[in-house]
Amino acid sequence: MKKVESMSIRRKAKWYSTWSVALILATSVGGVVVTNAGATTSTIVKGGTLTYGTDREPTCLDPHNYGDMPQTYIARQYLDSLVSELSDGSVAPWLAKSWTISSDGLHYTFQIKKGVKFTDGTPLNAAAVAANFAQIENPKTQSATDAGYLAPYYVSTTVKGPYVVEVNLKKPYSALLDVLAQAFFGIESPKAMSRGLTANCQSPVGTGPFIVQGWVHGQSVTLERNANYNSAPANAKHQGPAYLSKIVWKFLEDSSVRFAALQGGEVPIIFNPPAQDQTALNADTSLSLLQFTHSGIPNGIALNTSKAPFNDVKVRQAFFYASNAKSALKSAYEGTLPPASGPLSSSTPDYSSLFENTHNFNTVKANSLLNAAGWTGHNASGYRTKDGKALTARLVYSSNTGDTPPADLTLLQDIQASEKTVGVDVILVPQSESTYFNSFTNETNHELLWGAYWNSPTPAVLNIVYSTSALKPNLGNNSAFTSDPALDTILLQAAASTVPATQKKLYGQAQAIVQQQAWDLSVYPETTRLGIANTLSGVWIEPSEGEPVLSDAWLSK
Amino acid sequence: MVTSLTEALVVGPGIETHVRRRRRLSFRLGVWLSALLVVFVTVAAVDPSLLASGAPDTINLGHSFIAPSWSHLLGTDPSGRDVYTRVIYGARQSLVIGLLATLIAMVIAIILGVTAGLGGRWVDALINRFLEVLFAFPGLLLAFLFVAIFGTGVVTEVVAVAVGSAPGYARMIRGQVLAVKGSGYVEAAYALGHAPRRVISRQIVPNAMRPLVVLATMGVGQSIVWASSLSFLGLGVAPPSPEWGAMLDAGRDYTLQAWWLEIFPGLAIVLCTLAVTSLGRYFQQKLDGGIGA
Repeated sequence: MKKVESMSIRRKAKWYSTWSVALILATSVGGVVVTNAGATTSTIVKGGTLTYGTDREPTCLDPHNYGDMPQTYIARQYLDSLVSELSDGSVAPWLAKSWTISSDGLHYTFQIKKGVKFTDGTPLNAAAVAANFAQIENPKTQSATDAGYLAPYYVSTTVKGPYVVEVNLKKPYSALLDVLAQAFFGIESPKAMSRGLTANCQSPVGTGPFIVQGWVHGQSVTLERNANYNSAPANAKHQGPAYLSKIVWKFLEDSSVRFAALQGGEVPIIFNPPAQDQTALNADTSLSLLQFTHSGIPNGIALNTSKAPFNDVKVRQAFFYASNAKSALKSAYEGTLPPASGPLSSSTPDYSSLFENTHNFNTVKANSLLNAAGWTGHNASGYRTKDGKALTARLVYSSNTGDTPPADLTLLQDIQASEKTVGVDVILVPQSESTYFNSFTNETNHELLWGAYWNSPTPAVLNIVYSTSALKPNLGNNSAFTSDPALDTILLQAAASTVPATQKKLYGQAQAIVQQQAWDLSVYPETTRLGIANTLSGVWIEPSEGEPVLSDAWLSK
Repeated sequence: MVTSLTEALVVGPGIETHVRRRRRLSFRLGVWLSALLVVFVTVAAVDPSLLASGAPDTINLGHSFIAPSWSHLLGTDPSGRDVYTRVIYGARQSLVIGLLATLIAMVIAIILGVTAGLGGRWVDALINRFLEVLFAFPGLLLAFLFVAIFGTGVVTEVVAVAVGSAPGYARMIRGQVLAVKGSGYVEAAYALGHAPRRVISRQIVPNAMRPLVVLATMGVGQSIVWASSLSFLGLGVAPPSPEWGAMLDAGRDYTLQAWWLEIFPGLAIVLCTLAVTSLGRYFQQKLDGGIGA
């Protein structure tokens, strides 16, 4: 009884002090009182353990290796990059305090911040940055994403002084700074990298606000606060160490389980709450949604152009017209996601809105295109045939619910049913995650592939996804197996240009070719949607890759 | 399931007659209902168009998430497909997978069980150790392993379920063979000078196989549940197949919003399995009666 009494007095005292501090700060300093989207207003509280519920487990915690989205989301918490992307498409200083670009666009000289140390004690300097570029370029790192961005342009990195490093290119690459802002290019400790890929995958070391403490595979990664953090980007909400003392990055593959954990108060923040629970989320005043639409290539279906039937542009265009993808998206995601129709997501710089309605549902056009392509016969099941062969397309997807949530499966079945009306037999083929990833670079066992997106801050990503040079080196590069010399030229010219009007014109031409060729059926832009309880404040999403930033976040008691 | 089967077979005659009669009377209603349900499911499996007018994969995006009503008896799913039609059409896959898996499991089990029972000490010991290794893994885990190696699909699903359930049956068949081998009539047959091959084919195998009817019937129920489990975990048939486990899987994220997507395929699995199992138990009781008489 006594205990209870003293507790209530303590609580009251805390309430009193919290509000008085808030009031004083609000009147005197102003900016310190922070309001989260839909959350309550309170003063910053230091300490506490935050559990972050996410869908997919990374294959490796070092984002230089491979380079899938789950890696970049978590890496942002323990790695700093050279520059930080701003929402207007420009970049702010981060580990690089300033930089200069040579007039021919081939040499980028970075001045590295002094007095910064990796969390294993190694000092950050020009040599450390050069070691990172060397690791990214080394084929042993098996870098899919980083190599995709760099390989066509990169020559070398030169140490020009203790804190001066120069990146040399063979061709001008105006998107380089945006590219380097991604956590995929986070700077790691050379000492830690020298342990080899396996050890570095388990516990990479950066200069970031948190330190990887442990990774229990299949369950969670534990991150601890870096008490000496002094290298926050210029656009961070505060400088100095993070407020939270610990983050448990928990893998909750099933979206409904994640949402239940958020609603039940066990997990204050979850990645991508399921569409079917949007109404419940909106109705719950203790929860809010922070949403970011990725730029880059939207999620959709890659059409395998290396063999029949999709080696014929008429059949590809017919597949687009017959898909009814917009209605399928609306049904599957209950209107929570915007449709994507063109080659780029609408938030990408130099996005052209000209292609939003060019392939709207039209069975008349689909049928006439299929007839023109010679698929004029029909078999007993009603599917089209040509030379006795049925118009069949195997659509592969990952059977992992983290990769392909139930709403995606509904969407694919809707598209399948719609294609059936014009006589195209789409067969859904679930594959284990490893087989599915293999399908990206192996064209033999599928005609269609679901999940061919590429999140990127720049339209230069078109080069990774459609150029001849990107043909089959890595997962996600050129999933349609295309080669178009005219497009290659345009994309290289666009990458070399620093004149915004020229870039816009060239990327517009590139989008026109991609859309006319119908290589990828865009369905919806990828999103980072964070379901947040109002006990958590200060979370923001950075715009290069939609990475959640937790170094400015705090938990109110 | 296997444990209960083993226990059930041990229960022989000797229960008092009046108790037995009362049990039989109450059992009858259940048996009739079960038989009726099995007939219904069989009709659905043989010709689903007799029970449902539409097609199971007809999508109507304007009719998604309609609650059960007269126009859609069991409601509709996110793509506007009629859940009743899908449950009816799903019967064929669920039942065929159940039957085929049991059949394959039985064939594997008979080969292993009979060889162990008749093959002599070393062969018996070898097969027994092999079965014990398999027993160390739960049956469903064996099925998972099989799917992991050979990939997903209907054929793999059938074989996976069969491989998972075969060890249990093999052990039982071996026991039966040993019991029959040591019985008086087999000894008598040998004493009369019948050739061993004739004794095996005329006496041992047919008599050892009698309880198989029960095992097989109850095994179908078990196989349906296992196959649904595999489909539920995304390791079975691919969409848009209306297999019941796959329907459960597809609907699980919508439980709060559209309960009918979970309840009805779930009920189909439960009722079908219950019906088949209770028929199996009825046969088993008949068989025990037969042996006791």
